[in-house]
Amino acid sequence: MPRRAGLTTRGQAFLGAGLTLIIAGVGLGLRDFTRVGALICLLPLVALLLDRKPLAVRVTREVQPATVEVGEVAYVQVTYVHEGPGTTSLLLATEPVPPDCGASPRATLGALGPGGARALRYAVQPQHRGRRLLGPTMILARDPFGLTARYVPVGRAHELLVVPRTWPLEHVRARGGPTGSEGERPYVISTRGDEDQSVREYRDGDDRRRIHWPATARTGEFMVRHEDRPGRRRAVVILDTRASAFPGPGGTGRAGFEWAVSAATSIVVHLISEGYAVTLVTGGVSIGGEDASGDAITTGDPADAARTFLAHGAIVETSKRPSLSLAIASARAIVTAAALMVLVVGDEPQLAAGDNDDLHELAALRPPGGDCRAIVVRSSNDPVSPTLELLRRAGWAATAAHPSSGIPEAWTAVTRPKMAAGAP
Amino acid sequence: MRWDQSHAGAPVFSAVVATVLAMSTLTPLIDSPRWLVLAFLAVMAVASVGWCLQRMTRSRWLVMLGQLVASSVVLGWLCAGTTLWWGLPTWTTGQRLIDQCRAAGAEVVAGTAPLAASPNLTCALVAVTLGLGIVVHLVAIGYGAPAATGLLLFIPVAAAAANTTGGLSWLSFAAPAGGWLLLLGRDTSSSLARWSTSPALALTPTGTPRSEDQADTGFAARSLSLAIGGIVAALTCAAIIPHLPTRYLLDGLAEGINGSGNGAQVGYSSTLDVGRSLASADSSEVFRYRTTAQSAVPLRVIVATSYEDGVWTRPTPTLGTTARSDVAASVQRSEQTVTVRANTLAAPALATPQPLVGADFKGAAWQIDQATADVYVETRPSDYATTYLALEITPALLRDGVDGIPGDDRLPSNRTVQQSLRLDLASADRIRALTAAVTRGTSNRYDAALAIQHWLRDEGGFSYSLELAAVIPGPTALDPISAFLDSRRGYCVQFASTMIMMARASGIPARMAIGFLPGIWQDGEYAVSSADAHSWPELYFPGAGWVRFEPTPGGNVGSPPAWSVPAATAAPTTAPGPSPSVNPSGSGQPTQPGDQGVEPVDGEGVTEVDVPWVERARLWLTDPWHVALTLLTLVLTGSLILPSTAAIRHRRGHPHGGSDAEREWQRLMSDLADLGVTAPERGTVRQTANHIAAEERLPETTTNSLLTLVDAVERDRYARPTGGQGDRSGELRLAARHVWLTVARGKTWSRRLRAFLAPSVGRLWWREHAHRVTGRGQPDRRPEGGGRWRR
Repeated sequence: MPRRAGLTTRGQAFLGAGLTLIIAGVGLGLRDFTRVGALICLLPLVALLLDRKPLAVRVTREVQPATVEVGEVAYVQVTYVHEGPGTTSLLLATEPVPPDCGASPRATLGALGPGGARALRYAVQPQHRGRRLLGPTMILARDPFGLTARYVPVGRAHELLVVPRTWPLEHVRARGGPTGSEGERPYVISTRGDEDQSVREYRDGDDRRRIHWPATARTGEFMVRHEDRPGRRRAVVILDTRASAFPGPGGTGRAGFEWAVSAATSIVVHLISEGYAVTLVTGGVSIGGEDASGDAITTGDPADAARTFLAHGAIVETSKRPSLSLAIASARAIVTAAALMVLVVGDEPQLAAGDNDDLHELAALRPPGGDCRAIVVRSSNDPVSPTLELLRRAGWAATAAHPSSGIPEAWTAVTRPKMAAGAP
Repeated sequence: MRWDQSHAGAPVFSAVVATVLAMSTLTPLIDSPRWLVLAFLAVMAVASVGWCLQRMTRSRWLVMLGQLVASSVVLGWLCAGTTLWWGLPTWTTGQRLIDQCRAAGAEVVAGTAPLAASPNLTCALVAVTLGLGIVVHLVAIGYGAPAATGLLLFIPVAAAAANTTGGLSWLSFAAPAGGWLLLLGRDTSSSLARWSTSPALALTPTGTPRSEDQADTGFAARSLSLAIGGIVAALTCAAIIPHLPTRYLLDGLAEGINGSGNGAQVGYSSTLDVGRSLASADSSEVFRYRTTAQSAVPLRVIVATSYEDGVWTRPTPTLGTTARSDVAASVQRSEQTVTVRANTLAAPALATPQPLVGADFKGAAWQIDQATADVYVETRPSDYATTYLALEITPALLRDGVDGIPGDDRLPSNRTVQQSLRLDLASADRIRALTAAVTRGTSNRYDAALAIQHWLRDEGGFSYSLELAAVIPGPTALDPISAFLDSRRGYCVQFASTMIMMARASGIPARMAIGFLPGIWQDGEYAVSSADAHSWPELYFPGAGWVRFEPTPGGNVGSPPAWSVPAATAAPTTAPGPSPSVNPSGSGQPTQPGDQGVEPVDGEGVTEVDVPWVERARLWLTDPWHVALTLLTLVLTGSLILPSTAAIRHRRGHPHGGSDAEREWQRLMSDLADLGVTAPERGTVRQTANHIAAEERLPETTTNSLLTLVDAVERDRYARPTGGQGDRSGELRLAARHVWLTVARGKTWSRRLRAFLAPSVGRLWWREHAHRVTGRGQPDRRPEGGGRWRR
């Protein structure tokens, strides 16, 4: 569907000058003037005539990888195939990409014959998470003398999912479960009965004492007992999405929230890799946990599970709702079974005014002796943080973090509470 | 002032090709194309210099300057080798080149196409090509506007078209058009290359891949087909569209050139070089004609009225379908017919008997010059028939006029007559003195004319010769008429020219007629050949119109017309001897040397004919150059109105009064506002100054100047008057000027020009007065520049 077609300024000028010269040539009886006039008058008209055909260009787009973290590079190849008859005008392709992904690439496709195909390769490096649209390609069809121009958008836009950046975090070092027992919990819950036991192929480095001889005999290859399936300990990660909790003029509040999202997803991914069945609560939405059949989503491939959480992390946004009640409601059902509760919360400035019922309620979700950790994202440099104080008083291992600080450091601070200054 | 990023040589070469192809349209006008080869080499060399400079500097003007220097060197090598100093041009080289170009200009004006490719002409053509090449380079590559070069490249094409009858050949159009489109396409191609940020990869085979993986855009094929299509369509279109008869805007070589290359045509020059020997003795037949009159009359082709630097040129024609008749109704007449066949005279010239009353040009489109009755045809008619008036002109009619009262008042004051009274400046004094001597004793114009003709034919000792006496060139070289009077040797052109000048000196309007003598009587008709080409004077007599005289002696010219043969009683009584002593500087002449300047004998009033000044101004404005000059003067004067108003306003000071400092401050604010520098409305003087200094990033010295002014204004406004400050106006003016200059230097030239041509003070003053005149309300009289007045 052509958006705009017609003569360029140069084409219009040619047409005007040509007509004037033709009139002068005819009036003065000078055919040479008429010739010159006819040339510059006819050129744009002929170009316009040749460019009347609708453009039939099929566009396909491949993006590698399909999902990228913020700051990661994705490589895009756009293929243009001319499917119509005849040869096209000179085609110039501009592929619009969001400004934070880099400059929109431009390429001269040239005149395409029937079945002619061209490819445009470029790289994008998104600086913000979210669904980013690549394309649709805007094609400018023009003649070699720049007299006509026609803009045609071709194909459809491609959606690139940009997930928050995740950081490798320190080992969880569980501080005991809800029962209040001291020390580390056993890493492996031993399986009972053959039906629970699974075997896998022997890999270099496996302990030979774990070779499962009946299976080895049956298959003819070394098989080992697959005993590293951990017990499904549960963890809840609550991300504060209140816009009011991330205040600040301009982008400062935004930076705080982005930091919180990155921290929450990093923690979720880390916990999954540690074998936890994780539930992520953002506002009124909880991801993970158990589905209708009673199985946790995270019981499958940990990589798949992580992808699910990252995809949610890519699109989570702040909410105008100033209350945490939905998050509390979503979390309440899960926390009783959770071995670990992590809260990434903004430092709400109004908290000091006593309007902190939500936070009190949230802090009170901590089961006695439960492993509850909180990271308070602060936008201001105020030395006193009411949120931090409240959480610590409620027994949380809490630390404050600034958007400019490192997420692994913040996690370490709540993981090794003794090292964190002011820990309870 | 920056070149494009692309430094590739292809656009430079395209510009050279386009320039040379455009200039190649002039080749039919020159007899040898050697100059084009030289021009191509020269332009190529200069363009290479430009290309190298382009890589070294980003200033367009430096590149152009370098090319100009290179051009002078190249021209010096080509055309003035002996004047070079170690291969470099000197002052003499410049003068030599200028002289050569001047000489070439004279050759072009005097000659008919095809012109001989003399060294002078070659030099001038190479110089023109170089100039065109440099400007095309600047516009196409320096400014990245190749489309605009079309106008420049059109100049030689238009010049060729204007000087060619029957139009240029198709190749003369296609070549420059192709060159221009090449330039245009090359520019688009390089702009596309700059536009692309990523290469398009070819997934299917392409014609000629530019590199292993990069696709051929198909640009070249596409532009070639569009260019060829456009050129063919233009040629077809121009051939199909019906055109009006040709009107020439300029006097050129067109009428003289054998445009179509058809050897059967005979060219006819609209100009006549009096100083040139008649070398050609071509005897090819031009046409044959039959007449109903008892005696054959010469057929006229062209009338020339203006004589300058030895060259006769025809007046700018006023074409129409009727011509003015100057013959009184009472003159006896009979209509006669001349039937021409096998005409080979190239259009638009046509040989006709005069005065013409009717014609049948067999379908050829024609027009007639209202003033001269010259006929212009669009295409050459092979056969045609004309009817003319055979007038019974008697000496009595010429002597006494129609009503027997001849007089100056009977001379019409039209342009043709006015032009026909102008003397040649170079020979004016001598002609006046000579005429006074020759016509002494004559009492009327007719007798004077007879005396002049008689003197030239018989008494003056002149001899007919196609070979003129050699004239030594140089500043002392005589003009052709004086040279003829000295040598007393010449052919019809010199005789006719001299008679015309002498007649004009006697107050008789006279003009040059160029045409053909009746030729040889063969098979019941007259066969006219090129050798019968002839020129004769036509003198204006009230009532009789333009009357032919015949001052050229010799049998082949034929006898003079009956009315110009003096009756026995009317013969002039006095005539100077044949000796060269008629030269005014000679002795024994009736005129005194002192008389010539103070009281020109008989020649007085020749150019001072009683014409009202309005008419004189109108006549002066008939020349397009004069119109252009007048318009230019008007535009220049008009554009100075606002600046001068502003200057006066500033000098008079502000209406509310004020000191020098206040006046300079207000003026500076107003000038800066014109440059687009404004300050916050309600700021103090110091705030305003600080704002301007910060916004314009003024250097420290300028800021100090500004602060000097601010100090003075503040002291003036707020301090107690002490009266002991002394006159600081000069210092303050310098300070203000310094600030203004620094700010102006940072602005674009267009902004500076606008500030100069349309200062707000001037505009405001005129607007106020316009409002006062139209009676509308007073405009806001807020002082300019944002300053406020406290007094």
